Amino acid sequence: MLAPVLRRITENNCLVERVFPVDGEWLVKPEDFVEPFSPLGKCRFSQNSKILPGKFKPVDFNPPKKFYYAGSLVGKTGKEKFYAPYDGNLVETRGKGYIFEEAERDYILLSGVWGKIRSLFENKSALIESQSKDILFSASTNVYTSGELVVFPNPSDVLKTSYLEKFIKDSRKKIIYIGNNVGLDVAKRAYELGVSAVIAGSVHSEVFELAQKYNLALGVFSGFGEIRTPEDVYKFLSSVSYRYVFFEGEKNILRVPVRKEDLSRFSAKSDKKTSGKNRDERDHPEYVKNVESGMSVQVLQKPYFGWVGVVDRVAESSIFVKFGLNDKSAEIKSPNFLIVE
Amino acid sequence: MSLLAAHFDVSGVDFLFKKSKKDVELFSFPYVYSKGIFSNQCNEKQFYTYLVEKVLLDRGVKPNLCSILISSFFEPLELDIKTKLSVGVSSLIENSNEMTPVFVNNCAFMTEGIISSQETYWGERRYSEGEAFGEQDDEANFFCYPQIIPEDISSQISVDSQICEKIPEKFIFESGRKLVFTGGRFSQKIPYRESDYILILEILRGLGIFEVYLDKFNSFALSKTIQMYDRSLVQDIWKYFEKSGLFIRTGGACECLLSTGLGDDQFIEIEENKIFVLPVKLENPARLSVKSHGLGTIDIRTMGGEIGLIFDTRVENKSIYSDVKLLNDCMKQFEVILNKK
Repeated sequence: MLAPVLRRITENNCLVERVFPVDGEWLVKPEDFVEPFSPLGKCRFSQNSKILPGKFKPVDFNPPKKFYYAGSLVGKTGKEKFYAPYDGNLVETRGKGYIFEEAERDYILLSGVWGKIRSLFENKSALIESQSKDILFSASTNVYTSGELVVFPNPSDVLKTSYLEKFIKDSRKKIIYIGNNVGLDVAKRAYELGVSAVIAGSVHSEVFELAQKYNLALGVFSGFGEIRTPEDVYKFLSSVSYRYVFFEGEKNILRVPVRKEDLSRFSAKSDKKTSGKNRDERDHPEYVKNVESGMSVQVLQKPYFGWVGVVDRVAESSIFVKFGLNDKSAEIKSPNFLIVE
Repeated sequence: MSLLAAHFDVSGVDFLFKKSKKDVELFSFPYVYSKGIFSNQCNEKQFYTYLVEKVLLDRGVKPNLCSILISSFFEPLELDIKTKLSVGVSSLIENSNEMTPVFVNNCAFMTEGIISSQETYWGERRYSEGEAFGEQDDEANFFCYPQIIPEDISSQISVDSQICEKIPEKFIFESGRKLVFTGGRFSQKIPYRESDYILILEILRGLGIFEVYLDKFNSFALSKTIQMYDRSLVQDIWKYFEKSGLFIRTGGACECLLSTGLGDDQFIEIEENKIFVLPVKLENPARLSVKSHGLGTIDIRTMGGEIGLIFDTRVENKSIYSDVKLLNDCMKQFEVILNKK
């Protein structure tokens, strides 16, 4: 009985594109080796802005724009005073509304990955040859984003929102692993806080719809419902917490940059252990295999949906799987399972 | 030279392998490429190329020494190996003069002159008020893992009713045609086959008598692809189909007389808005007279089929799926016949 092989974490050589928000100047050249915190280049632009309410009235304003120091009074919305949150300019828009824009300041574009600069495109983007471990999402919204990975320790539902608000100083531009499951309220709060991406073991379909509606990057590892994050994925995420990672929704992956020596094929220790046959399988992986006793499988049949177990025996059109709870095995019909490696 | 025909659908892949004139094997791989399983390992083209090579190598045949013919839903598929022919389902339907193929899978309904497809799950549905939270999780999981076979009949009915909703109301089939119901929906190994015949009843539109064949192995696509390559390679395409019987849509109450000529004539009266299944499978043709207000009087000769004669006297086009009593009654009737087989 042939079945597909699911590999949740794979190693890949990849090209990573890093892009300036506006045209900038390069501090690197092709063939340079870079590390995640290596500056690639710099540019200047306004990094924050705030759209003011329609009833906002400025104080002492000369159109079309005026500079204010941080903390100075800019105007009022009814009785509510608005003080400049940072040094910046109040700008009158075409529709006679107002936006407060932070003054331009330097922005350093960091590499985010270990690798070699392959090419620079004008003053806009750099292409870096790198390597990564890619974690597979069973479903993700079609959004591309990148940011620092924050991993919550699978908090209970009650604590998720307070983790989101208090665990990290500033949740903007962060890619946050929230836990085994993310509820609607937590997802909404994450969106309000400007979180770059939310990742979890599972969500209900309504949460996914909300993310799609707001174009929020959301990825789930196990599927829909209340399904736990696979243990190997959680362990790996924990080991790379605070690393700069790339959420590639269209490809259903979370790309985690790694050092070349972190790849198993470059690890001397692993190469000594690996026999010729296994090495061949690593370089040319099999996408489908015959199911055999002892293999790990992910079950896609209720009440075990999302569970990983071990094949006890193989029948003509089903398999019997043990989940380690007791000696009993459950019959899972083909094709409601996947081999897991 | 050996020959492999493969049909790639939305929930599985079916194969016909011909090693010699007499040595023909029909088999299926009940999974498909999906991003939620493979996007971190390979793309669709790589996966299907690997699968075809694996299938051939497992049978001791080198891919370059075999004629490979493929058909796919919807567009012709490209592989990284040399194929003699690659066609889309619509071309197969266009090339079927001797029958009316009705191609149904979980995403689309296609027959002569009509293609009706569903949008993707996320493009289609929106959470509606009053719907229990998480109620749509199963459906969302089918989207991530398209090979899943629903484990309960209600989930299957939900999938089937969505297929039927997409068929234009004014669409009707021409009475007297030989209809072959084929496609991934009928080749999936679902445990409750009675739902196949209910789906056929729902799909059939217009009054008349229809000779219905059921293709449980996607052999229409496989055989037709081979015929398009070389007509002489398939002598009898009908041998792969189940002759289900006659579906008689009367549009109201009807009277019917079945004369076998052996002295056991049966006279049946069926009131309106009923589905009645009469198991008839004969060695020699019997005479069937049907009289109804909508149809008038029709005399034909029939040998019945695996199911027999199926009378549908619904006056309005009210869905069976929306009438629980009628649905349960139908299920029971088909179940009894299928259990006897």
